[in-house]
Amino acid sequence: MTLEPLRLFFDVTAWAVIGYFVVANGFWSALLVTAAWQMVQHRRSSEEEDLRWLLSSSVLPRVSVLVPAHNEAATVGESVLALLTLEYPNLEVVLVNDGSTDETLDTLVQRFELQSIHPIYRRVVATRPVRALYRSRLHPGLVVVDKDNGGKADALNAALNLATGTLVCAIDADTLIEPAALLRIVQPFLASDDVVASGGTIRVANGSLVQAGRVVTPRAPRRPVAGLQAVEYLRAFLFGRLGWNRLGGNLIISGAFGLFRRDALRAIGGYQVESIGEDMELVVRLRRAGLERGEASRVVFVPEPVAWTEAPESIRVLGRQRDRWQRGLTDVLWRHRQLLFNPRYGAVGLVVTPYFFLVELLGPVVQALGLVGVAAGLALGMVDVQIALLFLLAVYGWGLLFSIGALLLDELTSRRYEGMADRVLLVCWALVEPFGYRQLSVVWQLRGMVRAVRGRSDWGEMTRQGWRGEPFTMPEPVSRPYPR
Amino acid sequence: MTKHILLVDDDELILEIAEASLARVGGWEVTTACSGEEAVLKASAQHPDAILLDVMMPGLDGPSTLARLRADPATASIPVVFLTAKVRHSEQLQWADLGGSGDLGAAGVLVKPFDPMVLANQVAEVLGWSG
Amino acid sequence: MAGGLLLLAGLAELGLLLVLLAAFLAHSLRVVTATLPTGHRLVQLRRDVLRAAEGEVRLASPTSRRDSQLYRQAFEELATSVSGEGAERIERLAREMGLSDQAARWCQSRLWWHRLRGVRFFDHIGGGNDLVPARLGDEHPVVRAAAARWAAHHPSAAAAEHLVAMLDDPDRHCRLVAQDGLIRLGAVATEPLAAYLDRGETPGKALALALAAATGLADARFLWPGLRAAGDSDPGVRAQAATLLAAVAGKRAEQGLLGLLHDPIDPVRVAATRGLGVVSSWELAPHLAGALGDRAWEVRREAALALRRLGPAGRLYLRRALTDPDPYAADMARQVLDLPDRAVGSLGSPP
Repeated sequence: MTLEPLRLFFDVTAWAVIGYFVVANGFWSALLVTAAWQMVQHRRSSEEEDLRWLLSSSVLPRVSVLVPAHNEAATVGESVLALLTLEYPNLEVVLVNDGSTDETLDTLVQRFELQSIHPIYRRVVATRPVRALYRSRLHPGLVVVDKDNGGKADALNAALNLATGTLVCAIDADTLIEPAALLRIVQPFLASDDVVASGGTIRVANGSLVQAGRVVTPRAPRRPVAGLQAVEYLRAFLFGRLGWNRLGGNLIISGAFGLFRRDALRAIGGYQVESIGEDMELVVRLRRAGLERGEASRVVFVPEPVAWTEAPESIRVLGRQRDRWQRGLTDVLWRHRQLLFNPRYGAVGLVVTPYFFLVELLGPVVQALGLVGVAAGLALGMVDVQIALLFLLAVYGWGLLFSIGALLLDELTSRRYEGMADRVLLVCWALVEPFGYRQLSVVWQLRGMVRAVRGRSDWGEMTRQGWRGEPFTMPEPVSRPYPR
Repeated sequence: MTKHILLVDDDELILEIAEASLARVGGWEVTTACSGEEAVLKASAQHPDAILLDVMMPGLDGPSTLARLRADPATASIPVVFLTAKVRHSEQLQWADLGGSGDLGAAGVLVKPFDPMVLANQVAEVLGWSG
Repeated sequence: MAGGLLLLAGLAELGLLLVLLAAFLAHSLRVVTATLPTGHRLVQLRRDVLRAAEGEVRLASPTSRRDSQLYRQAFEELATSVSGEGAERIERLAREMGLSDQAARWCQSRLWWHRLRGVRFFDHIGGGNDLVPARLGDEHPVVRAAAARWAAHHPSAAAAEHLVAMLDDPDRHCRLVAQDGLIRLGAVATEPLAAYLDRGETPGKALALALAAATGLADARFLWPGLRAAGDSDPGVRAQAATLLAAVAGKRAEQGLLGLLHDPIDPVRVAATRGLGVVSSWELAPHLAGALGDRAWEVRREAALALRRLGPAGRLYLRRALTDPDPYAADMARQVLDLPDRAVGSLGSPP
């Protein structure tokens, strides 16, 4: 038996993988260019902009911030106050106590002098039973809903029923929103009637100084797990999300911070409780409905408004999160496979969805194939060392360039960190990423996809650090930037 | 005797301008605080003759700070004037009820942006100080 | 072949990596070493400007281009934080420093972001009466919007005319700035806007915005345009007309509102009910009580809130409604009666 066919097989596979990544990364480079261009334009038009004009203007629609809370007694008071003092003139905060078993509700009642009111509301979306409704004697814009436990999606739906704003801002209970973020994230809705959702940048707060629900001093994470995610988030948001604005728009708005048209959300029945990739599923459904009915359907990403979130610090928890995200992605794409190459959905069908199938979904598979193939090929002497190195350059080398590029873009535009130490630390995390983290991500993603195919739908719990190191347990959040 | 005023605002720029204005144009002694908590501490330590208090501050906001000041007998009698950013008409009506509700309320409300040339006079007028 | 490609790719990537890293580190270093002195310089500058404005010291001229930029920043920050005579003095100072001349040059630049900078400078600090109006017709929408804001701060008949014309602007953001600007202009905008509404040939979207601006001005002159718009085929326009009639007030306006109370489209009835609440006349209480039984949730809610805001007369109707045979009316009355006082007055502005 000759080894030639085998050698040919390895060769073809290796070149195919390399080719795939050259195309995919080439496309990403194009995204990078449009992202950088948009950043420049954005900075030029917001130079010396006086946001105070907006604060006293009459054109801003009411925003209802929807806050799902489960067993957050230690931090809920602070979080709610931080939300109520955001810089936005027409603001409502709807907090849903999702069947907490600790003193979350009591804390709220005491701190905000809540008064119970007759619990009637418009039942647009079905949810688990609402037990009570509260309004505050101190803060007119606060509404508190007490209901039976049903998970984050169910809690958001309950809040959606109560919301009186034209726009709703869905957040996680521990998201920290910057004071001026709402003023910025609302801009796409002012600029066009065709926008149905907008998103902003999510940054990793681990290691930063947090006080009274605000990030006072941003700092780069000191520990590797969080540090690697910080780089990943920057790359995903600054390139991925921003780049897509001009190419058909995003299919994902992070569950940690996103702004939506309330009526459009209600019209599609709110969040799907049984779905896994809730936030992506929602946006895809929203856009589909909009495109099908000829209503608002665009999704715009605004780089400036920032929300901070806590990234998991333990590898195991992170793994479960990424596993779940890929499961969600697979699930959503399968459910909405009619969009694929469907001209009825315009750029969404012809460009965005194919991208998700071919790159986001297939990417980890191809990467795994490449890794295994190249490693096996080298061991068997079937693959040239040069080809193996080419593979590494095409996949990981290029990826590293993207990371550093993202850091540079961030540095040129937002400059959040104070000293050199934080910046250099981020660069270090970026340099470390290709040596293990990306490969580990692939493993998690594959696991997630296998699970999706098998149809397992267990939820998994995620342990939260909390800002003071006290562990809480909360149903796993589904905020999802693009990991790459 | 020169009046002593405590300025409270989380915006440093406002503090700078107000301090410059009240100290030079009004000729008063001025202390600043950049949060509600700091204001309560400084008020009970220094017993100013009046407090100029911003309404929208993160953490302890204006009305909550006022409540704290009134709860402490040492600071309960210090007159307080609220500083608020220009807001739309409907919300401005609300601040009126924060204003003159007797001894426990604030002496008045002033709007930002203010004129540094006349701020001192406006404050004096609201507080009923002569000259 | 693989070898050649590898060499090429490897060198390219390494090269790019080094360039990016160098750029990153260089830029970071520059920012970090400059930030401290910049921060301090800015604070010092602001103090100097304030003292100069009070006539205490003479302000030194900027020493470098970077310093010039800081001066501009200090001036703009201060100018937007003060009003009245203080603001005028700062404007005078800015002119003496030559900053206004620089802004004037920018207004005439080929580059839109320079024009933007110039217009914004005049908007924040003052002046620019000869140059900014031309920017209202600028080709770039962001510049037009900035010029519109300037116009809103400089009341004049001409400014009002410009803003009314901008209600038709192709860029939505400009249209919104125009709407808001007309409200800020106040009385001087009433006639031009009323004339625009009277002409009756306003395109659909602009009509709603014009009515919204008219609502902010709340002049009796808008009664007839409001009544005419109340019969428009577009429900969005009718809803806006309801809000306008409520702002104008008066017997005739109330009748118009009562008519809209029976509109087939929900949002129009909601606006009409809210409008009746704004008018706040106790004679309307029976109509509001009737609206408690409306089939739409939001109408019932607005009716109940309006009754609560009406005071004792309204409360009477609400308490009566507690025993209403219609469970929806009874429920809503009960919830609104439960509301703490603060929660009733707030969020009365339209969502």
